Amino acid sequence: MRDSIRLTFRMHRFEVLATATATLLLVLAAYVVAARLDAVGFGPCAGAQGPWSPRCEGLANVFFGIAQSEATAVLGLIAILPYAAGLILGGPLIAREIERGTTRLAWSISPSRLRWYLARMLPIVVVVFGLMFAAGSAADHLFAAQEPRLDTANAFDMYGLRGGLVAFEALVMTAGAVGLGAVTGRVLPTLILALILGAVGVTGVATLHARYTATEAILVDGEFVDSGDRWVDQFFRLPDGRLVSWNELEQIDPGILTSEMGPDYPIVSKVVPGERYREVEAREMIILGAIAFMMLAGTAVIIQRRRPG
Amino acid sequence: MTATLEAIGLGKRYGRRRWALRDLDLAVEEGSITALVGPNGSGKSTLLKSWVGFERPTTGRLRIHDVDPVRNRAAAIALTGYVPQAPSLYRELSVDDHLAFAAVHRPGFDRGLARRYLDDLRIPLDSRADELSGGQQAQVGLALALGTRAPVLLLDEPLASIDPLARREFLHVLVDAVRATGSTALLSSHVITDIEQACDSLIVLGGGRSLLAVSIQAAIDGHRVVEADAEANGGVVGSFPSATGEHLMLVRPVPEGAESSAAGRAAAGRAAAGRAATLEEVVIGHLAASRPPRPDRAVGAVAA
Repeated sequence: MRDSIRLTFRMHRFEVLATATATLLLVLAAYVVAARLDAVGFGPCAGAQGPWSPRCEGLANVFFGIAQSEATAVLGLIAILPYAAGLILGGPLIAREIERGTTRLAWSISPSRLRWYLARMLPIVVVVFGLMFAAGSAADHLFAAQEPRLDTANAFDMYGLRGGLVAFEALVMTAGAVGLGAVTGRVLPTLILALILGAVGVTGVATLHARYTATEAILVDGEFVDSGDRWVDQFFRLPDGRLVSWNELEQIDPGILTSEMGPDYPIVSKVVPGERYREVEAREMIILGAIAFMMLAGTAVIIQRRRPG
Repeated sequence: MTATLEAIGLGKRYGRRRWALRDLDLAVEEGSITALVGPNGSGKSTLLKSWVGFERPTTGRLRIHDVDPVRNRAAAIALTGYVPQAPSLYRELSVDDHLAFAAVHRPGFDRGLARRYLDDLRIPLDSRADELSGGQQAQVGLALALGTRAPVLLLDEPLASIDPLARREFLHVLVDAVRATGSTALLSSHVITDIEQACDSLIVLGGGRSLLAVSIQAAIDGHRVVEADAEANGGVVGSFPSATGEHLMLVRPVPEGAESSAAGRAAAGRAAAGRAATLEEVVIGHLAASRPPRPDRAVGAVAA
């Protein structure tokens, strides 16, 4: 077992080292920037009512300077990390073996291609998941420092770009790249296809899940939703209790939206409350995890059936 | 003798029309070292790959020690040590890493035995695969195959890209190992002189079919070479050019009793007038006979 893991890492030394180095640097950067934001001491000012004191104004300038430049840059890089890691580590895993013909040796030595596949795939998947979990946690930590007024554990802000979801996005990306590599048997086409299909796939799942989650949204009175809630839609409540959209209201009462006073019907917002963040996030993790598992299982079937190249 | 490897009515088609192998029947005897010879595209690699489950036959059946590699690939591979055509080593791994890899993935892999072969061949275990010459890479492939202690060795043109000395060492190790363990080896190759020294039997493949399957001695004893003349009667296998451009004919000595006919007497006379065939001439003669006749060229227009 130890030999098997050692050999897999040896074969993918460059990819593992490059991904691990980039990830660890970004994790480190996230914690350093978070510490710099905390060190400004802007927290009490952020929560203060009324106009800021001159001291708070000064702290705000420093705080937002760091938040908008350094924190945004680090969070932006972490956002692309799961896609890059999935491509770099997943793409060559099988494709390169087929392309270089090493599968001829491996599959003639190992009576079980499944065993060979698991020995190659599992260490890489564990590495990707571990590194991206660290990256997602660091993004979570940095975002909490960037938004001192927000309870980030109960907020949909930066959804999918922080926390455990980052690791599951990387898992899907890796599984897809591994599978495409087994189909094409060539590294470059695998990387190109995986980049397109992976990004489309992950964002597609996120979009579909967001639509599904919207069906579970609740109605709250008022135009402004609590920070952390996911805003879905907005309606007017008519005197008879019916909820109508802006377009529907214009059909019912043409000109009301352009009148100087505007509509005086009470506004109702449809939101997914921020308290459901962890639950919704966990559900999407399960969906992504299941998709990744199915793709990895499908790859095992392809490997059983295909020629070694 | 029992057949270790068998192909029965084997056919392999790529795409809709191109048959790499067609209606192939052959058997390789247990404990033999058999050479598989044929031009490029004759189906040698396809045949060897089919026995390790890398190719799925379109028609017919295969047997390796009574195991059907199509139905039970794992069992077929467990019986086989395979040396692929091109060196297929992991360039990032050292030679010793390859032995570790084989030990992880092949139950019963004898790492010590493989190391001894590599020591005999003076291949440093700590060298990375991409630092080795083509010959050394082929020898590592052979050591890995021998380390499996498999009863059947399938070697797909391992000698193609290596120098004569490395070829000699490779064959020496192979022959010693096969004689010591009683295993069976099927070696595809273009290098006839090496085959003659190392192998017991010969199978000539051409156009996806078996053209000749006999012992090396029978192949040499059973053919003679004569200078080609315009008239080609019974007993002629094929005609081919010599290295100096003379037109030669490979003929079979006429069986006893056949001399009673006029054609038989002519053929027997011609065979008696010729000289003993070399193994290379036997192979070339049979390959020439398998080619479709071309009206624009005298050589290769064969009347058997």
